[in-house]
Amino acid sequence: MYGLTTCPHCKKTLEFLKNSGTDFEIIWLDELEGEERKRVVEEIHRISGSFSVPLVVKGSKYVVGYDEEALRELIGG
Amino acid sequence: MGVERTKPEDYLEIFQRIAEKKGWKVNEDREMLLEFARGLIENRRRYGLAICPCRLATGKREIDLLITCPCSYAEDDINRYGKCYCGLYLRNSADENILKKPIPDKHLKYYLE
Repeated sequence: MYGLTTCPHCKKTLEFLKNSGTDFEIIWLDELEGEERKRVVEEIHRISGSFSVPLVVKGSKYVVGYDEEALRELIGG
Repeated sequence: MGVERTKPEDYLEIFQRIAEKKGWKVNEDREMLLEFARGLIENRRRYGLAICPCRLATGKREIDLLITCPCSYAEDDINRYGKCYCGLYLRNSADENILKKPIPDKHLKYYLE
C-alpha cells in the first residue's frame, strides 16, 4: 500500500488491511525524501496512471481510494 | 484557514463555515472530518501551509498554494464530480456513495514537472 500519513482515506485503508489479516507492506510517501520520494512517486504513476492515494497493489491489479468492496475483491482474488 | 488553529475540533466549525459560504456541505463522517483536520494541522506544521491532506506537497510554495484547503480546484470538482479531491467538501445534493471513488487530480501536471 502507498499512502500519505495525513490522508484519512489512507488511514481507513490501512485499518481495513490490518483487519483483513493479509500480509502487506506500506510506503508512506510523505515520509520519503529527495530521490527516494521521486522514485516512488514515479512508481505510483507507472502503476495507476495517477498520483492518487491510497493505492493498494497486488500483483498486476490495484485499487485506488478507500473502497472496501474493491479491496475485498483484490485481496480475495 | 488564515487563523492559527491547533486543535482538530476547532477546524470543524471552520469547515462548516466555508461550506455554508460556498453553498457546499461537509463530509457527514465526524471522525473523518477530525482526521482531515489532523492532516491539515500536520501539513501546516511541516510546510507552513494547510495543504490538502490527501495530496503530496511539492515543496514549491507557489504550486503548493494551489492545494491549500479548500484547494483552487475544489469549486470546479464539486460542480463536476460532487466532491472536492479529498472528499472533505461535497455538493449539497451529493450522495455519500460518491466518496468511494477518487476523482481525477487536476494538480497532476505539477507532479510530472
